[in-house]
Amino acid sequence: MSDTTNSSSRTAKPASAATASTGEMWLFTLDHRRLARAWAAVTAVVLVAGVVLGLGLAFQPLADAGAVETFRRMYTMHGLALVALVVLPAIPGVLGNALLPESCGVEGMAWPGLNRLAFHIHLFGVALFLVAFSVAPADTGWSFDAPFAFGSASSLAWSVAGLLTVGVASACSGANLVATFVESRLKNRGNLDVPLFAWALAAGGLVQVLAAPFLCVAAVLLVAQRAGAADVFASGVAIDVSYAQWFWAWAHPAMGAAVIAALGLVDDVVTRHAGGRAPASRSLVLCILALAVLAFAGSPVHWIGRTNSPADSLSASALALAAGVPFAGLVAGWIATLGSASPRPTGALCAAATAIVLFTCGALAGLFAASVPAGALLQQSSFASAQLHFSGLGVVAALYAGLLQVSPDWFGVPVREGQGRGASALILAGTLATFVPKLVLGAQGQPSRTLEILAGGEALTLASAVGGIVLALGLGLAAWSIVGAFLASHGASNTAAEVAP
Amino acid sequence: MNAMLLVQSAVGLPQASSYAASIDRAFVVTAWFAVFLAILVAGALALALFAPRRDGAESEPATRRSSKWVSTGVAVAGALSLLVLLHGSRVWADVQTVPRGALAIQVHLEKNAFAFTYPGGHVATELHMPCDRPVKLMLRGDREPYTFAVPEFRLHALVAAAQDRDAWVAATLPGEYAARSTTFPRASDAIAAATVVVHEAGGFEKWHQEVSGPPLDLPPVELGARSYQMRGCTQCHSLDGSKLVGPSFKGFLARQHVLVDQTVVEPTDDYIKESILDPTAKVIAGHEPVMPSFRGRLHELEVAGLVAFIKSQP
Ligand code: HEC
Repeated sequence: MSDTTNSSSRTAKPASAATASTGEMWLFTLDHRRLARAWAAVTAVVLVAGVVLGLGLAFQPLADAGAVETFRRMYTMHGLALVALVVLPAIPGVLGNALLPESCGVEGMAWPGLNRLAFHIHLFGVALFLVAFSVAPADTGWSFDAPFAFGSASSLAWSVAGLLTVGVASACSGANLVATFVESRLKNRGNLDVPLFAWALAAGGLVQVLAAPFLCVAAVLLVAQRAGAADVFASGVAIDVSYAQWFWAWAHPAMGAAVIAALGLVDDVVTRHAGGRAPASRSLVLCILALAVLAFAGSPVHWIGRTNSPADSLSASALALAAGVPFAGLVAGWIATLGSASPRPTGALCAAATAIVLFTCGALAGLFAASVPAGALLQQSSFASAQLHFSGLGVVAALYAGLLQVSPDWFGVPVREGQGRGASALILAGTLATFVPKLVLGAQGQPSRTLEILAGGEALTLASAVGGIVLALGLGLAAWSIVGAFLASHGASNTAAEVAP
Repeated sequence: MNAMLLVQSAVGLPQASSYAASIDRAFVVTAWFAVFLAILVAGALALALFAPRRDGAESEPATRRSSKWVSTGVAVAGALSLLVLLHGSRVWADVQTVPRGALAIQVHLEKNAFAFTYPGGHVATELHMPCDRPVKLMLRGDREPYTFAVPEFRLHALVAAAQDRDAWVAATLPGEYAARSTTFPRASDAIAAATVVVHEAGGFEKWHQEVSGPPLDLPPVELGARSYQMRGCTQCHSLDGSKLVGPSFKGFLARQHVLVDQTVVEPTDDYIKESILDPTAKVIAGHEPVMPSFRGRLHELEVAGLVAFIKSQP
């Protein structure tokens, strides 16, 4: 808790707990470092809740207990909480705030007011979701699957409002990241030694901003269709772009942006461990920019790739496969860097390695999902859901790596090395044990989001559920390790305070 | 060894179509690549992280000598993606191009239930198909998107809203399979499903003839003659006067028709029609009331044809 000693905050407000109330300190601060911690606290709580729901989902089909409706509400909450409140906003919110200004060599975010506003909008979105989950739970899945969502008897209003709200918050964060990056470039004209993390956050932020309008259109279509005001399936329209295509035109790039930010963070951890900060090499920057372009180009793919034309399917396949290429460049670069530097495997580095392996698994699963005709077979199967989980948990592992990286700075004490390594190992093992069986089940035709287990699939379903326990333990240990450092720092400062006077 | 195939046979997902094997092969080859690359990446990382450190390596600052490696990674992944794309598109072309002379069956999804329309217009809720003969599935676009999937065939066709689409399959293993739509249906718990019956050699043609009957545009007497043959009347009714389970049709108009209560009925059109649709209403003396009702099983024109045919018997 000693920001003022080692950094010059833009707000220049002393972090004295004696004069400022907790609310002022954390909720209404313009200081990006404080906002980073507030983001981290909110994200951690949602993450734990979402993981508990996920465990329930893994076991419910096996226990053959509970109604379909309960199951549907649970997977909807699980997906919305973890995608919309953790995977998409966490890295820009937590580590963007914690690291971007320093990385770029500026004192703070370009628009501190907007930065705080983004956090407040996000909190409002969280509140909307809380209302949704407690009084009006949706049962449609986090992507509001059509045509199910159009006829669902459950109330979608709160959930849609929540998703829209956090989408707007992400766009505000994204705009701020882009502005901060551009501002720093204008200040240090000609000086190109910006770390890759800054490039990645800015590129991801731009994608978030550009994709947000699609979410708005999708939400309007969904609400209008449910109200009976419009018929999004009406034929005779020249370009028959339906609701689901608009939705994924947002969700796909937004997910891409989150992964890009996570890759930037992984690079940050790797380079710091390999002997200090280094400017990003041109080839790595190109990889990140290519990923951003492809993530955004993926949104029209969701228009053309979902028609009945074989040629469309092929071009969609080509675009989707292309995203793996720059990613492979990044991975090869990291392995080379680590190989030549042989750094000590700290907790942060192990978490980063976990993220790399998980993203690699996601990309390799993408080889199937993006290829014709295998990809068609895997649509809506548990294969597709497993692939999404590899990316999502990759982002979570990267987030953890980043938190371990900043923890000495935040708490004055580092997270215990053993805990960091152990949590990383458990997250890796748990994710593989949970979702590799899901890949196999999906390849055999197991649909996702159903209580039915494919004939003969019981053993793999059980294996996956057991893997879920390992994963939950890993994530729990990760959360505990951070909380532990926080408590240790508090204990330390409290005793210091007692001794000082 | 071959994990994917091992698991497949353990679960018993047969390759029941002509292209299933080639799709599986592409899948399995990709799976091997993927497993190999995953192990390579994980192994290299583990080595970089946990291998005993060389002396002096720690102090050496990390210069970005990785550029070369970045390009290598890009090249390898690019080549692999291209391979997957090219091979995939070849198999895809196979899966997409409906062979000439395929038997055409229309697939509709109505009120969340599949309906199949066969050549000749017969509509059934089950998909019957021959073995080893390509079948063209004309998937009719519904107001809302749906999927027609049969995992054993490796067939999974997403049908966009209000757009028709053709798919094809040549089943290779006789048996029963389940087709399902995996698109989330509107506010209903059930995912649309249908039974797929792949007949043994010759079985489909027999089934198809049985359900569809003779062509309806024949002249009535001829149509009746065909129906008499195809609808199983021959089992119980002869044309040459010999008594089978039921009375012979020989000289139908010239003969007396005495019922069990000894009343005599005139062989009018209405009487013959009633005898076909509601056989137990009037039972002929000397016979058991064992004739099945044909109500709902024959087209109106077929009934009229049978009436004409029976009356025409000398
Ligand atoms: C399972 C044997 C069986 C089959 C198959 C059968 N019938 Fe009959 N049918 C009978 C019997 C027994 C009678 C006499 C008792 C009665 O009238 O119900 C009869 C009576 C009739 C009569 C009245 C005969 C008369 O002398 O007045 C007609 C007409 C007739 N059948 C038409 C048909 C036609 C057309 C078919 C084929 C579509 C058919 N039947 C199939 C057993 C059968």
